[in-house]
Amino acid sequence: MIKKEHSPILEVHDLTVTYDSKPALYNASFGIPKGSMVGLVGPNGAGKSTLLKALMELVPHSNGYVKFFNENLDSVRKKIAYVPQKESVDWDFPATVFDIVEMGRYGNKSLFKRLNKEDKEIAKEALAEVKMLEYADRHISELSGGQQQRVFIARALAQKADIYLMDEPFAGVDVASEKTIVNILVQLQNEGKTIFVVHHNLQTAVEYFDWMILINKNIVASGPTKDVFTPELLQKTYDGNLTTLEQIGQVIQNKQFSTRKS
Amino acid sequence: MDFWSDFLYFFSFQDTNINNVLIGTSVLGFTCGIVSVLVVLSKKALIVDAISHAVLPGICIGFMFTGVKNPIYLSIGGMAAGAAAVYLVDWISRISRIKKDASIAISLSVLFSFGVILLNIIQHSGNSNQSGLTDFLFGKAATIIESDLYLFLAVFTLVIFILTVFYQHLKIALFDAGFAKTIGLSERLSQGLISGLVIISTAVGIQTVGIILMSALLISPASAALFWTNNFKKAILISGSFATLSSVLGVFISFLSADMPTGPWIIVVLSGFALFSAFFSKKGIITKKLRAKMDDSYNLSEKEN
Repeated sequence: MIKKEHSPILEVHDLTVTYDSKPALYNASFGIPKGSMVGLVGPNGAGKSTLLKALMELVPHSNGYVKFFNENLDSVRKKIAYVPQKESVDWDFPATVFDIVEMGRYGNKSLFKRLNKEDKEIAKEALAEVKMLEYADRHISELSGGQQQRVFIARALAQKADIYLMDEPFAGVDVASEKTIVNILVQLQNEGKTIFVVHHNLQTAVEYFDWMILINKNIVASGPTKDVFTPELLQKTYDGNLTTLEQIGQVIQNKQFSTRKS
Repeated sequence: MDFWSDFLYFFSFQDTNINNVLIGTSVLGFTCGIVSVLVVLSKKALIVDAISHAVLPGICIGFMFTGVKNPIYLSIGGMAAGAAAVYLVDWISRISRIKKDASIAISLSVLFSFGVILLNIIQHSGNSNQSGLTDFLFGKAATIIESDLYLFLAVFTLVIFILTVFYQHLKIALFDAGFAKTIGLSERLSQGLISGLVIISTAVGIQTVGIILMSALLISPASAALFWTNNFKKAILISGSFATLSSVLGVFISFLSADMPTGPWIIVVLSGFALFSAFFSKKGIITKKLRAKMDDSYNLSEKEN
């Protein structure tokens, strides 16, 4: 089930990505509406991160195209912020928290110009939003997983983008950090921004996202969460994997329970 | 002469020959110390070894073409060979199933053996200019003369210039290559700059420590420096200072005793700094243990009270 979007802010058409001639993502086509909070959900190795990387052209496309605002990535880079998995970098790098957040400002200006007062102010605000301002001068190796993730989110906020792409922002973070991050995402959505999140936890997926894409190498479904989050489609996505299916059953039960209650 | 009169003679800078060696090795040391930070943070330590070994055939070919031991021609040959090594490593791992570490080892040994063979051919060619070419293996700091200094200073200036202009680009790309790409920073440019800086500093750096020890001069300074600071800029300065200080001490030790080689001593001193940093710096192994122990005893005494 792939719901057609008439004026999508992000449009993906027939996107195929292969690693060593093995397809990691096959013929993905979907569109997402402006201002939605999208969850990209699927089992391990389903190509979730690959899809996100392909959107940002971090991995080569074998086929198909991606359009943001109906344009190619290169002409709209400044409007898109990407948050990689926090495990993808070396946190022993000699830099403070503020150094990292500041990096978010460089996309908006020539690299040979220094950051001005306004840039520093924006970086500070971003840090305050993730509740990490008092850590500004800390070295990044002294942070917990949740704090590292919040620093990454702050860097993305400093980019002042319109679309935010995030790779597993809730993986390995503490409850407090998860709450802070969720609040920020909600706030971004209220400001009219579009958010696209790779997510692996089905229980919270229903809660967080109003639009959902189910993926397992192919796009199984894409549409409003209430239409997509069905036992049939989930079963199709998870290939009948037993433990996951139990999890799904539980989630759906809870969902019905809470619906009845409300 | 006793130690102190040697010491005074050396550090009063009255001997032009010694000064040339001292300035030359210090400038090269600082240059390599700076580049070292980029090498270590980009995790390119292995490929540096391949580049430095590949420089030998380049130098030999440079000599065969010109017939003279002009450091500029030899360096150009060395740089070309270094670039070829980077390309070769990349090419082998791209077209075959051979992984990067193996392709580095293959390139290193093949190019180095090729260099040794060329060196042999040159030695038996009857060209009398060739004497001293083998010095490139372990360095020939003691023979640095004034005209060499201009080349070293030119390379030093170039490295500083590139680092200043591309400072932010390199910093962002070194920390998070994926993010750098998404904000439109060219990965090819940052990778090319780092390889280029390594190749340039290697081609001239081997004059002091030689091909075999060159990788140490591009790995140890930053490895030591990163124990002392959490700041990118300071890491560069500290790394450069470690390498410079090691160069000065290495030259001094070899001056004390006529039989002592300069290059190896520079590396021994530098490794001493690296080891000391690993154990006794703020982030060092022993410091951490001691601190943990102190915390423990503090906690214990608190409980007892």
